[in-house]
Amino acid sequence: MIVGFLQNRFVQELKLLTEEEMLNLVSIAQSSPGPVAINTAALVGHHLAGWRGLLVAVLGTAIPPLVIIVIVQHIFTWLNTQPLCQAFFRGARVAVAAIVTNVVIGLSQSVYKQQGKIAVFLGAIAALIMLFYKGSSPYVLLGSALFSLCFKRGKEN
Amino acid sequence: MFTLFLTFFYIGLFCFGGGYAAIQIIQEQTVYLNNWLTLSEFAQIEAIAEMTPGPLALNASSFIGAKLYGWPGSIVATFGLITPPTLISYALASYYKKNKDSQFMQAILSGIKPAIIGMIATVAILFLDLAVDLHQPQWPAVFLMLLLTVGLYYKKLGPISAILGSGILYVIVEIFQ
Repeated sequence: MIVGFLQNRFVQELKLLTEEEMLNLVSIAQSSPGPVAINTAALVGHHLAGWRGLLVAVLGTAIPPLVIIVIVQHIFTWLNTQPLCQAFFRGARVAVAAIVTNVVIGLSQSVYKQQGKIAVFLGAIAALIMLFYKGSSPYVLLGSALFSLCFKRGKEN
Repeated sequence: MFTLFLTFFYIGLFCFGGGYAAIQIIQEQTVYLNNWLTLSEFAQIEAIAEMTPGPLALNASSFIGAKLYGWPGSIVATFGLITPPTLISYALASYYKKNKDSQFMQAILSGIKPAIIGMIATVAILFLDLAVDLHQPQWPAVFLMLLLTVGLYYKKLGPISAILGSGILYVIVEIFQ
């Protein structure tokens, strides 16, 4: 969502970036760690005004949600003692489960199309490891990165 | 407070592949390893983060920080989370000036995509268990959850309306019981 927003503002309205530059920055932002919104802001900021631009863009992206959340959290702490609010969040839990399930379905379909059955199978193995060994997800990620690098090398040779 | 910063720094370093993958690492770190929250509190936070504007991972992190230490905690968690990506983006921005194609990273990313889906699937399973109790399924909740999933899948429903709708439904049931 934020990517579309940035594209509108910087490419179409301000004409500070070309469409292609923007796409290039977004693809880098998506392939590095951290929230994509922060990465994109950092790269656009850097592109326009060096490290100062980067700093300003990152702070500008991070501060509004921070302020909103501090306020929401205050209200929520008070609301959460009300039985009706608790009922609302029991319902919200069901929706959250549905949302995350839907994300898994969507991603599995796309990876199945790109990489075939084996990728879905690997995903299931990764899920099992992470369910049984709590705290292992960074290692699973690193492991699968190494695995895919070796596998790619093997195919090239 | 220092542990809070370090924890979110670690999360920022390892959250590849978008908001929901970050949610899994945040859940693992705050619910299972540090015991700051129960899973049910975490699901509430996820619902709130989904409904408030701003990136999902940032919202969830600053909420957790605020819950633990008030507004200073919120600032610490947010800065912990954004420090690694900011530094990495700075390094990448300098590097990609010379080498414009990011094919190497793209290749790694497509390699870890199955693992990322696996990560998100673990959160889905935990949330499902919380919402409908997989050992003793509560059938009305299961039915509602399936209905919402279908609605979301065919884009008839957005996440916010799904949360509001199902929350309000539970409130109505609570009133009439």
